[in-house]
Amino acid sequence: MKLASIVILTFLLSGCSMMPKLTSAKPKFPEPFTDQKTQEMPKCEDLKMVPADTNNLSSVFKIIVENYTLYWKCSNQVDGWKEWYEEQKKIYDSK
Amino acid sequence: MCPYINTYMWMLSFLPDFVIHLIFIAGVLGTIAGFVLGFIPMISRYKLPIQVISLVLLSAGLWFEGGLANEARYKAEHERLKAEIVRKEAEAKALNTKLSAASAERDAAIADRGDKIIQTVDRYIKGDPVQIVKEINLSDEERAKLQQQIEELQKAEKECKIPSLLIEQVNAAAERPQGAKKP
Repeated sequence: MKLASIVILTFLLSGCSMMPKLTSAKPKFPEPFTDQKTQEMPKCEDLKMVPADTNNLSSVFKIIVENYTLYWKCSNQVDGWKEWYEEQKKIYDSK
Repeated sequence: MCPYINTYMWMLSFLPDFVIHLIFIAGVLGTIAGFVLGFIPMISRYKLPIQVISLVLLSAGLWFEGGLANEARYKAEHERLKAEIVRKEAEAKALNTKLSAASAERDAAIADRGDKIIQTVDRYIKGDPVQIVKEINLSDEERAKLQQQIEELQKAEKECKIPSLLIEQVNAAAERPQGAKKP
């Protein structure tokens, strides 16, 4: 009788450890930041071409400066994404 | 065994907590009575049934008490996680607003700088060098140097032809490389 009681008790007590595991709820993956004007994810534009009939320096110079501007804008976006990832990761990993 | 656990534990959802406590207490008292107080004549008469029933009650009571405790812990943790998720989502949203504004500000500064450079060179090319250097606050030496540079630029603008081959090569370098994704 005593042995049976011990076996039954041990068996039933083991049920406590079989309760469903604690919830594994996670925050949603953060939305990417968007361009304030277009409300879309920022993109790197294609570089501008020099028109084939260009015959003066200033036109070439203008295209070059515009292309540098596009480069820096794209660089700004890449840096922005890196910052976004690092900061969002900090929030995601925070307790 | 595990799949059956939840089948029994669903009882927790409709059994009031005090019923579970009562089952447990009855089990404890019955066990004490059945195993320790066997010398009392009235108890000794029903010793075996008391022992069996109280052990069943004690086991069930222990089982559900364990379930209750675990459920309380589960609920508390669930609430904590829910609050944490809400906080993190709000923080992520606020960060997006901040980053989007900062990026737009940097973009505007970059575009403004490019425009200013183009406007300045355009002015150097089209304007009168003497007049232009007069409007800029410079030392005599710097002014003379800038005037010479502007004259040099204006001369190059008039006289230098851009070879078409150079334009082709510049454009080739500006083209999106093969295999690179188009935005």
